[in-house]
Amino acid sequence: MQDPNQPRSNDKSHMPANSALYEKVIPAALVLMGILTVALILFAAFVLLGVIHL
Amino acid sequence: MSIIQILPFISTAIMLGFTIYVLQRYFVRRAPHFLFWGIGLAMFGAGSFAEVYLSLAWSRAVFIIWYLCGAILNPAWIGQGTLYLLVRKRWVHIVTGVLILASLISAGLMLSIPINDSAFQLGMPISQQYKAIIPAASFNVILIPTIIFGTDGLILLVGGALYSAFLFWRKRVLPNRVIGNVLIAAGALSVAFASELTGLGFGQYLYVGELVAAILMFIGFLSAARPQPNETPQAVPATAD
Repeated sequence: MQDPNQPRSNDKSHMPANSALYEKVIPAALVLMGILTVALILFAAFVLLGVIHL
Repeated sequence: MSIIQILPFISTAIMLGFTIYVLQRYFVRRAPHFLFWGIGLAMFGAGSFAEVYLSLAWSRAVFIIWYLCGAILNPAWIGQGTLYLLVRKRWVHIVTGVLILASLISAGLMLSIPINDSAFQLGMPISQQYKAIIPAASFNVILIPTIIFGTDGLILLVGGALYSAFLFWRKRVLPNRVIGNVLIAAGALSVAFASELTGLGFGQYLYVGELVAAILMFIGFLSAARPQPNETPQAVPATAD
C-alpha cells in the first residue's frame, strides 16, 4: 500500500523527484525570462519617451 | 523558393493549425480565453501570410494587413485571452471594450496614412523595407499603438505564462503545464525580441523569430493542454487548459 506522505515520483500529475530539469533549469529559465521581459518593457518605455529612436 | 518565402510560409502553416486547434476548443467549451487566443493567433498567421505574399508581389491591402495584424494587434489580442483565463472579474470585459475600440482606431490610422507604393522592392523582406514604404511622419503616429499593443501583449502573455509556470512549479504539480507555459513564454519572447530588432533596423531576424515563436508556442500549448491523471484543472490558473 502506498504511503500518502511519500512523493509520488511516478505520478505524471506531479513533478519527478530530484529532477535537474525541475530543480535547476526551470527556475533559472523563469528568472531569465522575467528579466528579459522587464528589459523589453523598459525598452518600449524608452521608445515612447523618445529616449530611443526607431 | 527563397528563405524569405519559406520561413513565413512554415509560420503561416503552423499558425493555421494552431488557430484551428484553439478555436475548436472555443466552440466546444465556449470559454472566452480560447476565442481571444484564436483571434490573436489568426492575426499572427495573417501577418505571416502577408510576408509570403509580399515576397512575391506588391499589394497595398496586404501591406496594411501585415502591419495592422502582424505588428500592432496580435500580441494584445492573444494577451487578452490570457487575461480572461487568469482573472475572472467583470472589469476584464471593460478592458476588452478598450481593446476593441483601440483596435478600430489603429485600423483607421493604418487606412488613413499615406503609403509610398513606389518604395517597395520585390525580393527584399518587408520587415527590412517597411520604413521606406511608410513615410516618417506617419510612422511616428502608428508607432505609438504598435508599442502600446505590443507591451500590453508582452506583459499579459509572457507575464501570464511565467506566473502560471511559477505557480505550478511551486506546488510541484502538473509538470506538463510548467513546461508548456515556459515554452509559450519563450516563444512570445522570441517574436518580441525579433520585433524590437526589426524596429532598430535588423528586420532580417523577424521571420526567424516568428517561426521560433510559432513552433514553441504551439508545442507549449499542446503540452499544457494535455490532460494528466489526477488533474484538478481549477486548482491554479494556467495559460492553457
